Amino acid sequence: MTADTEVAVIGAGPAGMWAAITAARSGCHVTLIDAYARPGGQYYKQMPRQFKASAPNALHHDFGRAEAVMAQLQESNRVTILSGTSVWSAHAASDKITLYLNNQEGSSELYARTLVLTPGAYDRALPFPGWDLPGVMTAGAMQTLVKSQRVLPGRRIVLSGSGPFLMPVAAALAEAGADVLAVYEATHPRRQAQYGPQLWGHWDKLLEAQAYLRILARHRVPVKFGRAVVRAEGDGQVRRVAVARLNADWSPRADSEEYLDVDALGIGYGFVPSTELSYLLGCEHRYDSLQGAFFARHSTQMASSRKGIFVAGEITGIGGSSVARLQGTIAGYTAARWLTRLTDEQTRAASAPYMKQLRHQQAFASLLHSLYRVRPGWQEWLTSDTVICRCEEVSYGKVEEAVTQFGASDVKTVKSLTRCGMGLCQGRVCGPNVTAITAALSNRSPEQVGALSTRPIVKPITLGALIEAAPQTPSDHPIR
Amino acid sequence: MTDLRVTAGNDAAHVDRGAPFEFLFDGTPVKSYDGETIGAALVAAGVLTFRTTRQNGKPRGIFCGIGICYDCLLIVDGNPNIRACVTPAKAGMNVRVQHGSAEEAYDGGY
Repeated sequence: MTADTEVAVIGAGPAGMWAAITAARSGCHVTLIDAYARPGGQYYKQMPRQFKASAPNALHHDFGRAEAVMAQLQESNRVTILSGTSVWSAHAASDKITLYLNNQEGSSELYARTLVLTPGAYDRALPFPGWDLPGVMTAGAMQTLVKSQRVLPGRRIVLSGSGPFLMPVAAALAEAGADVLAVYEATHPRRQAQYGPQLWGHWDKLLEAQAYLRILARHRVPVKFGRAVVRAEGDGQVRRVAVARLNADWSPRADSEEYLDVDALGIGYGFVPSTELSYLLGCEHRYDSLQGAFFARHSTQMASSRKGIFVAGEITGIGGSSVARLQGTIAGYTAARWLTRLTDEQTRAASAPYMKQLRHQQAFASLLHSLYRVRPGWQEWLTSDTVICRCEEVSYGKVEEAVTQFGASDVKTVKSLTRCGMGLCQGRVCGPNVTAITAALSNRSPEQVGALSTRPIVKPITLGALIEAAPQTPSDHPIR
Repeated sequence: MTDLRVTAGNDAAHVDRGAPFEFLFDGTPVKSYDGETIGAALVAAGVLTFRTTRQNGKPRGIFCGIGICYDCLLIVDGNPNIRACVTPAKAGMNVRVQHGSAEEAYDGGY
């Protein structure tokens, strides 16, 4: 089956929803493709329709505007929403972009004249001994379980990581009845105080933070700074965590460990953008040292380095839902401009107010990047047998051997020698950590050691689906 | 029996899950509701190990929770490598722990 659309938008989070509705309102036919059952992305993740919740919005911050856009997307006769559909490969030619889709009905191709990439991000997990035990999961996994599935990940829970995301997760768990023993924020309190004055003017964000802290106070959940879970223990599942006081660089202080009995541990050290499709399509990327990841380069109008491909949201820099919504809106106008539905002047005029708000929101995001950046001392939490690549079960000792014994000085060589990043997740989980470890061990910069490369098939699919999707003649073969 | 679903007293969203159904997990009935993922139903029942790893036979369960990490793989009705965290539970499905590469699933054993 093949279909055609003017604008394909990949990812129905805030960036994708606003890109889609903006392009549709500007006169374009839009196909919004999303891997999950309902639109919203991770930020506005909805409960299953079948749950018949009479007050679903009680679990969300700022859900009203998302609800309005979701309704408009559903009603628009210019928008087709493909939920539960993943894009497993893509190919850009001069006149069209081919997307290879897979869902429950099987495989299909979609030809689009222009593409807006809004794939979002997922939790960054730093490894430590025992992080592969069942019961240890990302803060995002806990949030999905408790807010979308309404299931507690455990009864006695600790959260450890850095950044503001830990607070809403802890608050949601406590409100839902879990015993949240503590939230450990690795960043030192002194740094938080230093950044205080710069928060002036970001009242909406401060009020949101205050609301979460009030919930945590009501449930007597302590928030402790300058500490982290540096080891998880248990036979077959997590039973106990070791919490260490950290130095400013996050290396653990000697003899500072204390233990807590838990049945679940949530970890989250910021977010990693989903860049597999932007890499595959040949978009240029930049390394951001504060965020510790590679992001798609873009113009102020959200155009990537590839003609006809636009980017918005976390793929451009971790900015949260407000940045995503504003960038998505701008990308929607720019995509409409590309299809000549708007003139340059119309596009500029329509985008201007969003660009102004975007600058304000990005100032706040930059503040968070700087304050909560992952500090290099986490590598001292590792032992020789700590798993780095969860899929292929590659230990820190193996990575260390590849760099210090065999002379690997870039991530691709480490991958060849150790199989790091060759498993089913294709390096999504270990990628940023392998870059950081390789850089540290080889005394090179993360830009120099690079990132794990993207393969033509960016999501695991079955051979059956691949055969079904195979083109009729070899010359049509999309994989080069 | 363990049930980690958010109880009515703690549920600000007032969820009405409707009537429960069962599926089999390694031969044991597990309660679930329409709309739940297999992963959520198992976590609710206190089950944390969904597979064992190929090299070292280590237990693994839900990790990223959003379909990215491929750690929560199970065998569902004979099909291996099914992500528990994003796959809806259905009444009567036969769910099994995936050991290693799930070779038994390819032998027509189900």
